[in-house]
Amino acid sequence: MKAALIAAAVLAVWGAIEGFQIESESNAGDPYLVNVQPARLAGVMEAVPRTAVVGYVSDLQGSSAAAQAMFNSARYALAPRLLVEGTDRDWVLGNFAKPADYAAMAPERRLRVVQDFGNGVVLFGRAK
Amino acid sequence: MIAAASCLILAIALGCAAMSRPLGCLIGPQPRWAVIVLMIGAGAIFGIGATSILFFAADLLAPGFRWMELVVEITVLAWLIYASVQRRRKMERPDPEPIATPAESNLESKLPSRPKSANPKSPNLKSQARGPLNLMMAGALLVALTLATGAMSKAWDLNPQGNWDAWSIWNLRAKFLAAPSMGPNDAGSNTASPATAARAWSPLLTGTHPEYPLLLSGAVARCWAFSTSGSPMPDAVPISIGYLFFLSLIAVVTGGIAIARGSLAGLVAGLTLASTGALLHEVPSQYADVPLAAYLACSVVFLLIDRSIWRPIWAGVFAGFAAWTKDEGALFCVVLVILLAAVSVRGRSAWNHSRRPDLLRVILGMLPGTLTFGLFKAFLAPHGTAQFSAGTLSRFANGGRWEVVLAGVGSQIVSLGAGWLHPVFIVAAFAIGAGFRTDSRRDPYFPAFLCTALAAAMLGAYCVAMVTSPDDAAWQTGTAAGRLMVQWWPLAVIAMMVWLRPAEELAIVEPSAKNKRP
Repeated sequence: MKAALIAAAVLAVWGAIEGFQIESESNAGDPYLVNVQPARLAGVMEAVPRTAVVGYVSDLQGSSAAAQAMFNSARYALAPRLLVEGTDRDWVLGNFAKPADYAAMAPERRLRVVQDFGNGVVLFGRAK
Repeated sequence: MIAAASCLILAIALGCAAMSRPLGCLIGPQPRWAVIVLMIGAGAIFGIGATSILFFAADLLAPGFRWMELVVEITVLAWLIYASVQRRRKMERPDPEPIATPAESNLESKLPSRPKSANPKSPNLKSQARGPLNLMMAGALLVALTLATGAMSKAWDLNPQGNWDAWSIWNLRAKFLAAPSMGPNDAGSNTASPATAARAWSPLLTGTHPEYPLLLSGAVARCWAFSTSGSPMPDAVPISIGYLFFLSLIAVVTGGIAIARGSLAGLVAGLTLASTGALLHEVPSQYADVPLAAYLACSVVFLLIDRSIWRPIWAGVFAGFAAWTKDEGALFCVVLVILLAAVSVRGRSAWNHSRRPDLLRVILGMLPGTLTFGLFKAFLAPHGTAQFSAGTLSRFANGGRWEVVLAGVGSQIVSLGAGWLHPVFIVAAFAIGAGFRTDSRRDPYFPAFLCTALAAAMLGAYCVAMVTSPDDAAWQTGTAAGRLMVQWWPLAVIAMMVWLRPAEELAIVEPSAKNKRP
């Protein structure tokens, strides 16, 4: 019995050491850049009331992992504001991966640029 | 941060105080450390779950009066402490012979091996002879937990917001629940705007499962709500809650098995879980799978150590909390009720022990969690799952889907360990030393059959759920099977341990065997 218990203890500690090594080597730091979103979207958070439902427009479309990561990480950072797909809102977040002429693209979506915060973050409002 | 920690400590204190009544009476007949470890583990997850439900219900029923919820919690804690002190005083007084109620005495007489502190051959006395081995195993468990915590701390540093589902589902919804409540005209949007909390289950939350239950999100939200008046909400809260659930899972399984099958078996069970790589990997993810695993294991443990009329109720309470943690918890409730009902029907002839009272008590205990779950699904988030959509039967009958799912599940079970060392080897090493149980008259098989049937039924139910899911079977298995196995593995460990002979029995058998030698 004693030998069996020693074997069990040794196996368990061995497993824990292996687990420690694997976890230490495999941890990729913030692959979806969720941590940087609060700083990146700080201007929008100041400008938009916490109670708002905010529309969303981006140059990354569809269900690709990059587009989903960008949308969901922005949604998490902006909560309790509710970020929803589409531009039919009083406030619309522009979240872009590449620089573009935001003022030119706004009218075709019946939007106007409220403020360009840089780094691909633009706050649009509904065009009057 | 201090306010968040205080909220968490209040929840744990509340749970531990509530556990002192059903478990406190085991101190004496059972190893003191095991009872205390179980009390703290079960108490922590009970407290976190109960306060999460209270927070959710209070916000729905009385928005804007959150302080009322804290008042209720503190009042209940004070009452539990007062009742505990009174009970201790009463026990210290010399008491006349207790008169058992007919129902209680009937059940007690049927239950096997009620712990008797006066029995010189009781396991707790035997275990004292195995002190050094207990210490060695406890030391190994501490080393394994320290290593696990070290590995997790690196993940917490690098990725404090957890993995994808943490920030896109669980903690996102916690942020909505934690935000100060607003009136219906307060939201400033161009849609009908209910209170901010309702955003946690809004159909506008596309792609993030707003129909999922809210125990974990509610627990995180409760600490955030009482600790911050706005953003940023500290990442330390979901990290701490996830880690607490992990520690509680280890504590519940270690303490519960130690009470049911002896100290050494309990420590081996704890060691097995603490060195399960897949489980350790899930903790920093901040998903609901580890909390769910803790509730499932706790429910089974309370069925296993059943010695009073109250503990089946507690088993039901934890099963109900599992339902309010994840949909798989509701599946567990269904499986548990079906199994207990089947046993109840077969009754005395099959097990020599009627479990009908247990079934009713378990169902009664499930009510807080399952009612919250049911009302939420029925009235707040009816835009539910497509699990039972058209084509369920054809998917169920599709052999190709079964092949993919069974291969995926098998692969996840094989890769539960870290590296090539599978944690089942730890149980196997102990089994070689202890051997399998043989005497069903002194040590009835019923609890072992129940645990095994539960673990097997849950594994089968998970496979059926993945096969009938409307999603692609390979994608479904690839994304879900690993986490489902993390929920299931503690049940499997409990089921394996209950078939083994308590190591402490060898202390009695070995000397007598020696005496027979010429």
